[in-house]
Amino acid sequence: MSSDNPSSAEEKKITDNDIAFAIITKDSVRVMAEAAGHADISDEVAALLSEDISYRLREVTMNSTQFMKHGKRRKLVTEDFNRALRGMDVQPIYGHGSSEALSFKQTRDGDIHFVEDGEVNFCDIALGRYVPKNLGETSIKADWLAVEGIPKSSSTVKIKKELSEDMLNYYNNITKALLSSEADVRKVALDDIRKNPNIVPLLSYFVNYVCYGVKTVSYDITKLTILLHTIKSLINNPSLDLTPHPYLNLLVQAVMYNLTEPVAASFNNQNDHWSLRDYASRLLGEIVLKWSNPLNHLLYNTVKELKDVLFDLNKPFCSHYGAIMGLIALGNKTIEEILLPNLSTFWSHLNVAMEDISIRNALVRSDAYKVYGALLLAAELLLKNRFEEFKKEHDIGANSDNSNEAKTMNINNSSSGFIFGGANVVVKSPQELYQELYEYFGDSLTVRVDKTAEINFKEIFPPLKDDVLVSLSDADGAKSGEALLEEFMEQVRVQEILDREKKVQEEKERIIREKMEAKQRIVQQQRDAEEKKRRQIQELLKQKQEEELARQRWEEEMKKREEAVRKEREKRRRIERRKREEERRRLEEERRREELMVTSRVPRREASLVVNYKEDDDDIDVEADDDSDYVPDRPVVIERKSDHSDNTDEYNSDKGYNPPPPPPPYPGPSQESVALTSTITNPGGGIKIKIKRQPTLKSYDMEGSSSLSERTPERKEKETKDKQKRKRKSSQKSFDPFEFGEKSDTDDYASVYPPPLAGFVQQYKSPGTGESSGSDNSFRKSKLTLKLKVPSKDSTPE
Amino acid sequence: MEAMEGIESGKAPVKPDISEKQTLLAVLQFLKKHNLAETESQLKREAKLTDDDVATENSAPSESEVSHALAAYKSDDDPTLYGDIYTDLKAFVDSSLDVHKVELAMVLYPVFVHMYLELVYNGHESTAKSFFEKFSKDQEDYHQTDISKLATVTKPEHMKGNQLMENFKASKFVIRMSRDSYTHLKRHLQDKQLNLLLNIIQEHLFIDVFDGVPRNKQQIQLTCGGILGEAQREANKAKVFYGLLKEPDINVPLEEEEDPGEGDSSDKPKKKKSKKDPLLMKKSKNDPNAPIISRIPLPEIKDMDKIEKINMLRESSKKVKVDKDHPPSICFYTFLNSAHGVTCIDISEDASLISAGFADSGIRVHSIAPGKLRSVKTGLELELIDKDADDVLERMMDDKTGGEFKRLSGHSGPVYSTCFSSDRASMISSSEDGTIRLWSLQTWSNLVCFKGHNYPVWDVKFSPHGHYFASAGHDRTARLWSTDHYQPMRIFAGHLSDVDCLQFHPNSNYIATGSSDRTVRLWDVLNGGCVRIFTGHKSPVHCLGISPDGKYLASSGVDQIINLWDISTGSLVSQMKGHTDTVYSLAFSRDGGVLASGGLDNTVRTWDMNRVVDEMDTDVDASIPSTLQVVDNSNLLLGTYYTKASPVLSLQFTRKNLLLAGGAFVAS
Repeated sequence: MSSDNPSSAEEKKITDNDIAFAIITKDSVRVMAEAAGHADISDEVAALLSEDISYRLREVTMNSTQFMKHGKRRKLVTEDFNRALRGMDVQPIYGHGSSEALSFKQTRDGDIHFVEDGEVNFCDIALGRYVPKNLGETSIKADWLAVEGIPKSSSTVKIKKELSEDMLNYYNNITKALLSSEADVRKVALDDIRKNPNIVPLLSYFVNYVCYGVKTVSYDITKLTILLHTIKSLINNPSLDLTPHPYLNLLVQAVMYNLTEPVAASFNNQNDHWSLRDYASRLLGEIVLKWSNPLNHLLYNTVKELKDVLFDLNKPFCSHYGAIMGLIALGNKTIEEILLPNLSTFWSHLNVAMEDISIRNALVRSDAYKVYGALLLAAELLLKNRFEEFKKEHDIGANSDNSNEAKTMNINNSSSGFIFGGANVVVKSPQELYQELYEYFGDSLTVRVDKTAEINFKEIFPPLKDDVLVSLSDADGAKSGEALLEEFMEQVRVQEILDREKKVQEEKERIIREKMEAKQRIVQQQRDAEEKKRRQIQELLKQKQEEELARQRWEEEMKKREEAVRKEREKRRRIERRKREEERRRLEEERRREELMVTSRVPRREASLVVNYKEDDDDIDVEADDDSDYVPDRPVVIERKSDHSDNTDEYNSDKGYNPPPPPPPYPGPSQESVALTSTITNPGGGIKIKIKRQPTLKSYDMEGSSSLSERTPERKEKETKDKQKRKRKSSQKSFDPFEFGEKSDTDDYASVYPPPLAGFVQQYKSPGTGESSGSDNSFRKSKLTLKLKVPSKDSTPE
Repeated sequence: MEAMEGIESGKAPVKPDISEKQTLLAVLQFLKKHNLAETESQLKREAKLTDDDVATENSAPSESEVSHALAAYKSDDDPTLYGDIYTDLKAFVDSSLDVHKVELAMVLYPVFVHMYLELVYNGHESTAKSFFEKFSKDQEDYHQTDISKLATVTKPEHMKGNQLMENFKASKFVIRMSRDSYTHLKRHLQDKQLNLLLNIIQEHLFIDVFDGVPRNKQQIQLTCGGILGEAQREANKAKVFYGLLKEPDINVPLEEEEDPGEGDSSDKPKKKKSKKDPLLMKKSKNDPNAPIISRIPLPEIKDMDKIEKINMLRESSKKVKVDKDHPPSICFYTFLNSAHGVTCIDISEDASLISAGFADSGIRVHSIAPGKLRSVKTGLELELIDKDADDVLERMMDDKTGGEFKRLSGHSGPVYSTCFSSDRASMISSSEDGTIRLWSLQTWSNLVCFKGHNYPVWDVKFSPHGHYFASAGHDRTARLWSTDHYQPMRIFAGHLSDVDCLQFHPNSNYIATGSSDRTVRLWDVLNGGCVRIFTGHKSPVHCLGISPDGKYLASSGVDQIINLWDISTGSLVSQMKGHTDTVYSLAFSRDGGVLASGGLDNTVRTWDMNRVVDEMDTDVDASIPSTLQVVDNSNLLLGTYYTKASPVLSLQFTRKNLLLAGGAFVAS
């Protein structure tokens, strides 16, 4: 339905070079109508319908792209279309929810196009072996895209390799052939994998195929075997490089799976899973010994894994068998270092199973015997090898004088060869080894080792040519005194070396122990430090809270004082002005009354009060359109709620001593009036009064000097004290962090006015407290003195 | 505007009056219909409308709503004339001087559109079709999406309800033109006396004339592309307080010296004075471009916030430098197995949480810092807690509920956006179902469901100061909400199409929105007005970012171009090209030196902002578009980092300037 759908008979594409969109022809409309049971619709109707449907479809499609864009996808899905339909109040199309594109097909005769909608047999799905793929839990994974601007190679190298069509065909054919029932076909496929040098790009595919294959066909022994063959072929293909990271690990895992897992096939006794395990073990040995290097830790990891399986006594014996076979395949050293030292623990477990001869246990017992056989094999191989070595040593010893060196070297080699063996693996003499093993296996070992041992002894202890005469039954007797001494010395040396090694080991252990202790100490210290820190922080917080409280208290007081000072000043100013105005007013009274008669009809509420005031302005512009008995010459600063609030107070308290024309009731700082003053200019027009004010500065100076003279010494003292106090307070106040918070109200934009502070009027009115004269600037003090002068004129109640 | 006088001659002032009256009448009709007699009479009284007015208005234009609205297209002209006139106009443009040619050519597209619509409206379908075929290819590339939409409209009925058509009809197409070019055009139109063309230009075009040399092709290309042309210069004249709010001081030892203007704190009188006069104080303390702190009410600062701020400062002090020579480290969070389709990802400001919205209506919140996500204990258990204990906050949490992630369900449609609050106590999400939900991240439950947008809500963001959040949706509005009111506090209307994305200014006083109408707008939270319109995108805008200093706005979207705008002047500063698919996320580094972008092309790209600022032409006069100089140096791109197969849906610089990115793996 999208505009770039392939053209078809039903949705005919009209190509206008670059503008193309699908339309539904009237023929289609007619066919659909027929399908819905309206056989005869006129040509006209069909044409109209087709036109409209096409337009609506385009509209919906366009709208649905919005849902795609916000779904952050490149592909438009049916859900997007349905959402667009819902948004347009049209019933959505039900039943189509596929996230995959549906294939649009044409009948062979060519005229009908349809969406392929195959039948699905639920029975097959329900009863078949089909297991839905687990989609996996949604999870989150973090990785570095770049470290300091350098892209991480793993994420930038695009592993996506485009496979050619031929390659893909080849791969499909090969994999099909591998799973075919005909042995010849399989053989050809395996051969090709082994020899074909061109399959390099398919390596990852094959590795993947094998790895997932073993898990999915675990019930079928033959298929498992074929997969193992495939691995073998891959390994043997000389043109393949398996070293890149996941390949080897994946292959080893696949082999290990066959080797040690109690696969489904092994529960059926008919299956010869033992031979599968044998084969797997050989394959494992081949892979590991061929590809292991110090960088990939392949050998170490494999051995570790096998070890874990072996000593997990909860695993069935077939797993143990696999593990033992694997260890054997990895060489004698592994047997000696892994199997031998831990044999005793495993032995008891094995014995329990072997000695239980109840019928119920028959299967397990037979499995246990298999394991026993494997162990025996290991022991045999070990012994044989040791004899060989022993023989070789003696050959060397017999032929050269450096036998000691060779031996020590040997010891060193064997102890440093494996990481997991530890330093205390000592090469045991064949005899010791034999005795040790004999304890476990008894005579069955003897039978195995018999021949080899016999041959060995002959070869190992050839009669000495030099001292035939001295030859006695004792092997040592054949040697000369020097040789004996040498041998003795050698033993001493060996002992010394062993001791030294032991010491080193102990030393190492001690160091490690000390380190551990030190580490623990450090951790303990850290913990203590953290604890301490936390306590400090807590204390700090508490302290801070206390400070805050104290500060808040100070602030309140400070505010009161400040306001008192300001009010004082304002009051004085007002009185001053009033005095001046009174004179003026008397002159203008007549004219103004007339005008006021006209304007006072305007409701007081609506009259907006615009006051342009600047502190050091000589001209005061007052626009007021209400009766101006009272001229509001106070500074109105809208941004500061505190100013505002104490203004109200001020007016209330002012009432008492105001000059004859009493102030009208102040309308109160309603939100509206404040907002209006800030933004809307006075619409009423009213009277404009221009008042010339005397420069204030002069008078301040004068008053300042007079106030100074009036000061008594004791007051001065108090003032200085206050000053100091204030200094501290003000410094605290200046950084009030809560200013921001206090002023704002989260709920309402406008209602940000806290209730006026009660009772501070009295405070500033008693001059003796000296509260208002905090700082020592003349500006402030002058106000105080002025106030003191004023009462005589204005008859303040106090 | 003043230059239009020549043509319009007094028509303009009458028009709004009529339309206003019509609106009033419509309201009255509505009231009448619903029997709200009292309101009706009251409105009548207040509007000073007499019953006669209503009656006459009612009787006269009783046509259907559509035809009334589209009546502007009614024309009796001969349909065959259109093609000739358009050809003539084209010839005129081609024959004019090269200097003017490009400017004059801008007229062609709107004239083409409106001629076509007139033809369609008047029922000349075949003429319209041939007209369209003949001239549609001449139009600029970036108009082609609209042109293809236009092509679907072939019948008058189609024009009804079509968003694009309504936009063309309702608003004028804005073209900026130099006075010289404009004079040329005017002379041509007057000479030819072509009423048809004259009508179209008068009715549907707004020519914003500026004094200065004509613009060149490139300059025009940079700013055009909006559905209705460019922004009028008038629209960008308002002052924007783009500065940052004064940070409340928290660090105790620092506060004395915090005021650089005032100097030493011993200077008490000065200090006192400044306290009294807030204006003076602000001037000395803040840069003049910052709004005063109480411009909009902000939530009180709680103790928790203070601790958070201290943490933030502490972490910020460890911030690594990120610039051209010190490219950032990028950590990518991939959502795996997200079969239901991740639609959005958000990473919390402190990089401790990551949330994802899914197409199946679910939301998941993962912890990406050590520590599991826990719920608060139940009421009964809470009562048992010793409330004076130092670790009371820790004790409140129920360890049994701890988990690596939490699932939040409640929406009934794909979740298109999620956003953590700055204190990480709550999260907001918006969905296709038209609702916005507020979730508590303490109880992991839904607290409020905000209904208001009746259509899909594409984006939602918390204010950097908390408490407020804003949403943008298919209904072409953005809205401002507060967490304690269930109705929006402001509705920002003006976009001509879906509002696809939004971003709060760092000072919380402004909101930027990007839309499918290919414009970016900046709105004032205080009064809800639009203070900036940025045009220049050629496709819908899907992501926005504002630099930490509040000066620059970056935007990008379907057109794969990242535009950087200067908020103070409203002009384009830089254009960055490099992405090969839709850009879905933008983020500035904490010091503003690097801009990171990511999108559907599975890349994260970083851009050199320092270089932009250095090379920026500072004396561009915004009122003269022909002085526009844009930094589009190809060296601006610092790096391109590919993800495996995950579109980059979210980007965020941590406080230490580590770049975090989020996306969902999309199996091919």
